[in-house]
Amino acid sequence: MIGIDVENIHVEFPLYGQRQRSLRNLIVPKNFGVRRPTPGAVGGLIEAEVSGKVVINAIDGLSFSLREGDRLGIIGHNGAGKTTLLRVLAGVYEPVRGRLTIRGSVTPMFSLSDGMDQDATGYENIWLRSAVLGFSRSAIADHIDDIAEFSELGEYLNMPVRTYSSGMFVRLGFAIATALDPQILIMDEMIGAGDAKFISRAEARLKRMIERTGILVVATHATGILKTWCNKAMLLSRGRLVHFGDVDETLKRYEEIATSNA
Amino acid sequence: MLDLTLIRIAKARDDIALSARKWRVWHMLAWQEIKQRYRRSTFGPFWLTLSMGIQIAVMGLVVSLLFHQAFNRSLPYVALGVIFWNMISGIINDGAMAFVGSTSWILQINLPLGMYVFQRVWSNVIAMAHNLAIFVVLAVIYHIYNVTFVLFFLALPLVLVSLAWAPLLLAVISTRFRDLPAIVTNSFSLMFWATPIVYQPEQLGANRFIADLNPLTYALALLRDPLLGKIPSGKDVLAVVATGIVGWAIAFPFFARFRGRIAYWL
Repeated sequence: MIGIDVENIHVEFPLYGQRQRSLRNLIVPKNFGVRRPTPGAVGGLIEAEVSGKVVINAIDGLSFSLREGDRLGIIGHNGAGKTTLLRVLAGVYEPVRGRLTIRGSVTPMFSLSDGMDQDATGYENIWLRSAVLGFSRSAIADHIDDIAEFSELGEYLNMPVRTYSSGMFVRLGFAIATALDPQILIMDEMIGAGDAKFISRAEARLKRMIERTGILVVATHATGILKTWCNKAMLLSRGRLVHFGDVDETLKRYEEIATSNA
Repeated sequence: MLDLTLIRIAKARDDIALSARKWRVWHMLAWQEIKQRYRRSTFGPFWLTLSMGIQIAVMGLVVSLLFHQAFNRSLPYVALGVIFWNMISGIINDGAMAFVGSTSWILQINLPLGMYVFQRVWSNVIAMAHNLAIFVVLAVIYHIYNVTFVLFFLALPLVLVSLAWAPLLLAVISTRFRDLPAIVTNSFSLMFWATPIVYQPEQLGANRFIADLNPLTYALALLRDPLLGKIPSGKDVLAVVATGIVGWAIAFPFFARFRGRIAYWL
């Protein structure tokens, strides 16, 4: 049974300035002053220890559960912890406290072009990216025509990707990412640079892929996406859970907070 | 507290094991790295070989003049020394940047971290294989063939496993302390002279202990001797195995303790 159980997780980022990143300064330390915590309208909670080590509390005690068939939308202000939470769910960051239980394989969809080898051809990058994402050789061979055809890049697939426009990048990355049948799909907001025709094809393909997924978690600012794709929503603020539940309620709460701050 | 330690050890062990199983992925990544090095160059992959060939020829000439040896006697020895030294120093230097250099993958997808180290090790092995073409040419010219060549293919995996802990350890520390890779590069280039690469250990005379205390002397001997028609001594094998055991005994706990922090440091 696919599922996600998050129990009171905390994620803290140590912020190392140039001083703390230097081995030399570990051996020959300089004196650090005391800095006060800085509250602001965006971002997670920043704390400073006496030693000068600054820690960002990106996620501050979060708990929730998801079951097969759940489609969770995460919304919140910039720096609320949305991407950090997605990375925790993808297994990139291990929580410093709390427990995370994930049953099922996780497919992350964070960036369409990160990790692409600029001098390699489109085809080579398809192989590379697919292999890293966990496809077997035979699976890649099966899907490569589908990916090539969907991207509509034609002969450009034999050219190094540094010759691509950003829209072509999106086409390639999107085609690769959506060739999967994910059990748990973790998606960060996709920035689309594709043209209008591609966007409508892309939406249809994405929708089909999501329908095949067991659990979807998507972080977004677009309320339209939340209403169309999600059956649950989570509102994060400064690393804390403000609301979890029905999409419309969560959106209302989000709007309340946004207008009260204005 | 013990619980946490055991969990960390288990996760580190799983990481290494899974990294080994995913060899197809790091093999592909390693090849991509090699291709990147010679793309858009005139000679392609043998560009690396050509520049090394020139380096070896010059060193061989200097050595034969300095030590009053026949050029053809010193050349194969020097060639293999330089080829294998380049592989080892490449493993160390590239390895130190293994995590920092793979930041975009590490922050996107949960893959065992060992993979990124194995990738760097393997790309240096592939480069070494290209460079070994130089030795093949010399072997044909100077009629060096021997059944001991077969031993090379046993020695290579042994040496790689006995040294792979070093890039792993360095990669962990270098992610936290960003000036380490430069320190490593500089310190390691000094090791060139403390290792019998272009000279024989005997030629150090009373100062022979410098080479004898250097673990790389034995690794180099293990790789070089079979290709020069000698069977490596038991002492060499023992020294290499001991380096591996001690090295992993240091590197593994380090990796276990900080593996979960790497992503946070990037």
